[in-house]
Amino acid sequence: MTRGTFIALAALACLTGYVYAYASGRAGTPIRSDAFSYYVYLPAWGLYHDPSLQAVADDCCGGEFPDWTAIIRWPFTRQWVDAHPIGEAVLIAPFFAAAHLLTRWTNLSPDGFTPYYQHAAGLAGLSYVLAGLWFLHRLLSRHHSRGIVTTTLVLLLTGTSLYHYATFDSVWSHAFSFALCAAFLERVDAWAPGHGGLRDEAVLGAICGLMVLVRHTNAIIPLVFAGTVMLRARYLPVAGIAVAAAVVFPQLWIYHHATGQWLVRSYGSLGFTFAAPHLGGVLFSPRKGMFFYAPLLLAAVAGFLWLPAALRRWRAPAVIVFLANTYLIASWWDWQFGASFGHRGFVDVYPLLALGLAAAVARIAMVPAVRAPAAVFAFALCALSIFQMLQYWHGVLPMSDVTWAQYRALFLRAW
Amino acid sequence: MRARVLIAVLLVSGTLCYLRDPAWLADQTTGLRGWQRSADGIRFRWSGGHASFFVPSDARTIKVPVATTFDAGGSEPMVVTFSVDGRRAARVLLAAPGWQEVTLPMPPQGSRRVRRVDVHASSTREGNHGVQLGELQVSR
Repeated sequence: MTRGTFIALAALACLTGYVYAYASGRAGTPIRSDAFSYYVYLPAWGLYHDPSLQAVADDCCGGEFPDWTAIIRWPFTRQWVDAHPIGEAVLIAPFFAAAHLLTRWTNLSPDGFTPYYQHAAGLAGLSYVLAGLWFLHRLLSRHHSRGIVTTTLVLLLTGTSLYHYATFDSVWSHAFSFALCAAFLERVDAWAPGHGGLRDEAVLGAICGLMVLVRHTNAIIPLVFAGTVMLRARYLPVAGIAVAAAVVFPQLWIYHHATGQWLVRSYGSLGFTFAAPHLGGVLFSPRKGMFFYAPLLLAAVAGFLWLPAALRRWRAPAVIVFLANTYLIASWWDWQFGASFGHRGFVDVYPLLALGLAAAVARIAMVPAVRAPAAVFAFALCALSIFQMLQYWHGVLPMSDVTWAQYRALFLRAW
Repeated sequence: MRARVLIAVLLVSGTLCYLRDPAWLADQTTGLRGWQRSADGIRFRWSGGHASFFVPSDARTIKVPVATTFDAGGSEPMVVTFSVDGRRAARVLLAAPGWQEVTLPMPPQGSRRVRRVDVHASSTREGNHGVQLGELQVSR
């Protein structure tokens, strides 16, 4: 299957899920919960020309953002500080512009939250997941056959929570981080430090800057990967670093404008509990364990032992990022990350795991005796993942705090 | 290639023509909760800080009963501003409990089937409750 055909089929599959989620009324509106605070910059900048966010608060909420928005008044300055950074809004901006023109055309209320804005944001997340798959396809195609690449990406989309974050919760930051992480890996894998010209460095710098803008903790990915390349090549990509800094600067300006400080704890008093990480919880528990809800990813971990020669240079950085990311997620005060299908914190690094998953698929494909049983087993795991996702959509599977007894009682229960 | 471009242009043009004045707009509301009935028997919907709904464009005037609450969840006076198709049409001060009727003069019928009415509350009560909007009376 060619890259174009695969992306077209993935788009069709994701659009089907998206339409089902919203036409059935299961998902409410796309811009809800955390998605609101990632998105809120767009109406503030684009419609009210007010970076302080006060005009949006006046319009939506009588002047004060409700607590659930995670937008807080900073002590002393009384300015609004959004717990979530601006990167996702930057990435949605082209979709927002189209939605605004259509809103004017139809004479809907141009407040940033009427239906066209809602679905422009929703479809933006879906589009970025497709873009991420496109970059992963391009990266993996350099090292594996077309069949292995297609199989890997189908497994990643249907056997993990990626499909959920491309459809039902597509305005959460994970779709955007996934795309940027995939783009970063593809570009860094193709990068020849000191030989590729300034354009390659600038593109990588822009991707790194956007990754940090979408989720500050994403910074560990470029730091470890690009850092590894720089150390090995003994080369400092000044242009790339300058571009990344320029991309991140607006976020620092916003923090400074609101608080008088360049770096802030935007979550206020909420933070990390580094001394007591819930490692078992985030990896294996029925509450939110990544491997519990996407056991296919265990094959991805094993696959790092069998990486193709040209990808082995990424083994150590990938392991370091995965471990550091797991520790960060497990140390967050709300280690379940609230409502989510599977553990949403890991969706951002699925592109890293795709490297291992592809290697595992390639390894299995080489052994005729296990190929058929493995295919049946993988199909069953994907079917289970999709079924459990639908249970979540229909309210059968609780949004968080699932106990083992609950999970067993609900196993394969229809809605 | 030329055929593809032609099909794309036709699709986009057709979609834009349809979206200029779609029939579903008449039932479209934003920022309004479900219908309730007050203690005095009046049907109403709560708005948030901002709500919008659509009315027939051949209406000459629209009358809207409005009220809000004055209790522990918020007791400051509230200014409620109504706009028709983005132009301010009426403003009312709610300073005490009880229903007030707001009359919105409507512009002459335009080229669309419906007109958009936006309602802005200057503040909200607990839980982002803005103003209670009763059933509309449309005079043609």
